[in-house]
Amino acid sequence: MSAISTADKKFQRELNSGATSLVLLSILARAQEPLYGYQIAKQLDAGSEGPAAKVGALYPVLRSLERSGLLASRVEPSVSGPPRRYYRITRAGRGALERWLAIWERNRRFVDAVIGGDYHV
Amino acid sequence: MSDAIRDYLDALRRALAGSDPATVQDALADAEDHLRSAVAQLREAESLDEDAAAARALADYGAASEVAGAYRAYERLSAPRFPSASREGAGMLLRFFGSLWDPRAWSALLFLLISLVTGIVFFYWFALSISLSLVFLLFIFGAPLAVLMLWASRGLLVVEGRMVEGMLGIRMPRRSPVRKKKGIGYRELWALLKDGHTWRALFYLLLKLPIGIVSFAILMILLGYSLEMMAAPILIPIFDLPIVTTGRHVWYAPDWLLPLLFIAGFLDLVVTLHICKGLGRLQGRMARRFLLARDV
Repeated sequence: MSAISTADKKFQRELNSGATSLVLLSILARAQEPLYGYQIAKQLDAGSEGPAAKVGALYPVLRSLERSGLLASRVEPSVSGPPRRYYRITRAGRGALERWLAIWERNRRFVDAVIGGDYHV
Repeated sequence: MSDAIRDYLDALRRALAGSDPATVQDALADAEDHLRSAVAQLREAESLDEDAAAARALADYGAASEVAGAYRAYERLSAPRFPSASREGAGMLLRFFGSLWDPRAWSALLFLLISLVTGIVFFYWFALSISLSLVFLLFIFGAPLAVLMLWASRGLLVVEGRMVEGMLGIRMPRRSPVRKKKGIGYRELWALLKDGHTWRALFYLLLKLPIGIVSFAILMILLGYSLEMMAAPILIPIFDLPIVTTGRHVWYAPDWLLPLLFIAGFLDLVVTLHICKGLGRLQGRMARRFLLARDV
């Protein structure tokens, strides 16, 4: 693996680490009913040209969001396979999503401005 | 489960070597859960055969090393933390009395009080499941019953693990260990009996009762004395109670002793909270020893 692609991967990973939480929260905020991991991954897949992060990396983020009280989950038996863990957003999660979107927007404007040369340091 | 997925789970386990066993257990449960769902869905929706579906699901899930890295990052962020009252560099005196406002000490106290109840429940479940399983093993439906009861015991112990993590602040697994064989026949029973985790779990169920009794007794004695002595300055003058009664001799406390009794009771409470923290740590360590799957 070349040095460039390692650096690219590192950049992508660092960029993902916060965005994944934001994306997961907004998917679950829009969902009409609790979703399990595979459904969430499918939605991510459909919404982009390709998942920025591998699906396996979503689960630890889901767990950490649950641990912070932003998501809640319950395990239900399924007809076709092993029991599934269904996640839904909590009231605290909706509050966090609103604040995070504001932060995201501010950040995006700042980065765009710097890249576009409108911002003078 | 296809061989590809089993190989992947092994690779994930190897990639996570050295991490907290509780994290490994969680990661394997997540991966197996997802991959099974994905394979089932792919086979149904796109009518792929088992191997092709497994290959697709695995490619989406990500390389074992990548996934392991994500869990490690998560583990660093979410290690169980407790706001600790005793600050670094605080004086000896402050550290000693710090147990009074240390949430860890109070939650350890609650845990020890509750452990008598959980001990009784665990013992009851142990006796019930073992005796029923042994008796019914003589009949055709004995094996399913034994398998179900063993799995129920493991479920019960996951709850104990959650309590240990929540109240003692010690990282424990959040899911049952992955079931190696699905089904409830004699073969699955044999696989369970060969699994050291089953025996450790059963032993823990049994052990919890004596431990619960001892810690409850220690707490009751220490707390009882403490509350008694702290209440003495109020209750003794009102009800004119003697302090010591031996045979026909009755000894009344002089007035100057009453404030000293209160102080002694207060110190007893502080020391009791320290002891609770210590006992809680011991119990937590024991729970980790018995409830973590060793083969992960």
